[in-house]
This record gives sequence, C-alpha cells and structure tokens, in this order.
Amino acid sequence: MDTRELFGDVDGELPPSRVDVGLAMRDGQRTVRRRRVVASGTAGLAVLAVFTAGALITQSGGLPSAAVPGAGQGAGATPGVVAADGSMQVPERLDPLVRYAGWGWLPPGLSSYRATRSTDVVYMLLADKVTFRMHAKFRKPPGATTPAPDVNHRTAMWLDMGSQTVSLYWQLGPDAWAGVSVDREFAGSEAQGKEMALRIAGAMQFGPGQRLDLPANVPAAMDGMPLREIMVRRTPDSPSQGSSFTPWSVSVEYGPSVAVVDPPAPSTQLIRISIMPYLPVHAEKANTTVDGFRAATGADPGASASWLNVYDVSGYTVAIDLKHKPENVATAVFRQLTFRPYS
Amino acid sequence: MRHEQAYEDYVQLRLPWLRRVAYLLCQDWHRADDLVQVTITRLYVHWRKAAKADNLDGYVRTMLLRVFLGEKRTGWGSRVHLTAEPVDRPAETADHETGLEVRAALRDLPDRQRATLVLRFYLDLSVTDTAEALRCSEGTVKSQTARGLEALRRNLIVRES
Repeated sequence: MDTRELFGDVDGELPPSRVDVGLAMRDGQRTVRRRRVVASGTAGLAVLAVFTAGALITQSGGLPSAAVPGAGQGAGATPGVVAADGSMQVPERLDPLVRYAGWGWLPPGLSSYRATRSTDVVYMLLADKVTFRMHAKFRKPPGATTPAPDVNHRTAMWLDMGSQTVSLYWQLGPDAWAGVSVDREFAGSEAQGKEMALRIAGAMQFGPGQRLDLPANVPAAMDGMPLREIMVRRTPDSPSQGSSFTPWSVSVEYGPSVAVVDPPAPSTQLIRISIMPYLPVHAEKANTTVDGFRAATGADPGASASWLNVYDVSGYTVAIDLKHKPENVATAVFRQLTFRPYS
Repeated sequence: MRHEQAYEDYVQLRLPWLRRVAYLLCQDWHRADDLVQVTITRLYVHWRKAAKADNLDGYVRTMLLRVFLGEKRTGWGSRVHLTAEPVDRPAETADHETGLEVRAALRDLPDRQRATLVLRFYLDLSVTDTAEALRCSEGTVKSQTARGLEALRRNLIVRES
C-alpha cells in the first residue's frame, strides 16, 4: 500500500457545498461584538453585530412580557395591525419600537429568545427552533409554495425553505404576510413540524400595538439617521456560563433601512447602542471616564469604526458603536440617552 | 472593508481544500461542511491575528483540527443538525471501489490516529509540524502513525476477506 496515495481520490470533484461564508461572517461579527463588550473594548470592531439582547417569553399565552426590567410599565398602546372592524391592516413601514404580535401557544423546551424588529420585518426566534416573521405590506415571501390549510380562515401556504425547516406563511391582510418556521428535527418529523407550525400560527395574537418597554429612552432618530432596527436577546441562566454571562441585552441601530438579514454595506454609516446588565468584569479595562462614569473607548481606523463603552450607568453597561462617523459622536449619543434604573 | 474582503477572498479560495481536509478527518460530507462552517466562523473572529501568521493555511488547518477534535470531546456533533438527505456525490472514478474501501478502513480508525494520518500523508506535514498541530510529542506522532497504518492495513484485510 502506497501510503501517500491513500487520500488521492478525495481530490476529485467535490459535492455541493453547504458552507455559508456569509453566515460565518455574520456569526463571527456577533462573537467579536460580544467579546469586545465583555472584555471592555480590547478587540477590534470589524462590523456592527447583527443582534444582541433579549426578552422573556411567557408560554402561557398572550404577548411576551418585555425582555427587560420594568416590563410592561409605561408601555402605551400605539397603532397595531388590527383595525376596528377586526380586519388586518399591516403598514408599509413597520415601527421597530412597536410589538405587533405575540405568541399564543408554544411547544415546551424553548427558553432562549431573540427578536429583531426593523421597518421591513419582525423576527421573533425561540432557541433558533421556532421563528415568527411578520413582513411589512407588499413584502411577499419569495420561493416555491404549496397550498396549506387556512390559518384562522386566512389563505396559507407552505414555503419551500429547504429540508431542515418547515415554513408556513399566511395572509394577514391585503398584500401582507406572516410566517412561522419550525425546525424539523426539533418537531420530530416534517408532519409534526407542519402540525406544530399550524398550531403556533393559529394561536398568534395580533392586536393594538404595544410600545416596547426598553431600559432607556430611544429617540426615533440619532445624529440625523433614523432608527432602523431593535434587537432583543434573552438567554436563560446556566451555571456553565460563567461570571461574564449577560442574561439579556437590547441593541438599537440607527442607519439606512436595509433588509435585516443582510450585513450592512461596508461604507454604511451606522450607530448602534447596546444595553445590558452591568457586570464588574465589563469595566476591568476602562481607560477613561464619561460624565463621571468609567468608560473604555477605542477605534479601528481600518474599518472606519470606533466605540465607546460606558459602565455602571444606572446598573447597565452601555456600548456605543460607530461606523463611518466621527469618534466624538459616541459621547454625544450617550448624552442623549436617559436610563431607567436597573435593579 | 479591507479586512473583511481579505477574509472573504481567502475563504472562497481555500474552501475546496478545507472541505477536503474536513472530509478526510470526519469521513462524512455533511459533518465536513459543519466543521468547515465552524472553522471559518472562528477564523473570522481571529482574522486579524490569522492574517499576520507566517503560514495562514497552517493556522487555519490547525483551527479545523481543533474543531474536529473538540467536537469529539464535547459531543458537538450530536447537537448540530445535519441534513438527512445525502448530498450529491462526485462522479465515479476508475478506482472508486478501491477508494471506498480505503475510506471505509480510514473511517474505522480512532479519530486521533486518522487525524495523524491525514496530517502526515495528505497534508504532507513533518512529524514535528504534526506534533505541534495535535499538541502532542513527536514520539506520539510516530507511534500514532505506526498504529494507524497498521490498523488501516488490518481493516483493509478484514474488508477484503
């Protein structure tokens, strides 16, 4: 046996790849972002992360309680998607500050939660096994479809999204769609996945829009740029997650409106504000102060990025990331925020 | 952004090679792609450091190896969803059957022995470099190589009989 020829035949034609370089970059961006915040700004910021922080889901029905302290307090009603006559009226531009829908029924065993709200789409994900999407008007989901049983007397269809996911879309109103996707393996089989998706979709609750209850005031615009995305994450406590574990965080992003799943274009101006519970480990490498608070600041000229982390602000760590913006904007952004004390 | 572009260029260029190495390590194209996905995600996180390495391929190869061996330690494979359907296979070659026999014999080897053989004989690493990649002594590499080859021969004989 010629040992060096052992592996020769692997050099032939490769089977189709499932490797997703874009996904690797987005996941990597999240990790970079999280590490930098936890390590007090020691790592370079390549691109602003896609999401952070969270909300607590109740599985007993009704809208999820807010992810952050003081949930439900001061959250006033705003225009939702249900008209006075009971019909659905989804706007062409969603308000990221509004919670339009809530879970009515969920399968057990899903504890971590994240939600992303932009002007185009709302994503609510449970442990990456169940996903709800609500698109702004005229954003019909693409792809091959087959008919599905109606959801609450509304037209529905199965969307072909690959073998790993069962995806159900149904029509909320004229030119307005919502969808529920279920991980097929989590459900047990495709048939069980479809059953689960139909049950979740049928129980989804829409109604008067609730203003999100956030730990800080969130202006509709910052430094001339509109609010384009709010991301919330909540991860259940676990003994293995260590002293730097942050159970929830909220991130607010200002910049041009883009599809939420796409990474920002390299030259896009962005401001991201991330808020999470303060932990002493965050401030270990503070190198300055801002308005009397310990802070860390840094820049990555190659990426046209800079950041400012401010620690123990009413019990929070506040991380401000800038892209293609002057560094001093971060301090101005921080001074525009007021925080509700976290206890 | 030039860092991201450099990363993307490198990954796109070396993706076939990474997939082949991953496949040889784990003997399953689905798992190979999962290993590569995790590896290039980590590479993105460490790109600044990796890009300065004297031997970027070696750096990434070591990352892939760590992911593979770490997967075996932590049971990562059991937590990652793999597609149920087999991917399309490449066209058969003249020595396809022989290749399958060898591949099956390789699959029966313990992971570290298989990794040692892949590093030594597919990637042409020296004993010293293999020891560094596997974080073990050169003596261990030599013994693992000898045992791996012996096991491979034994497995092939069993399959032929």
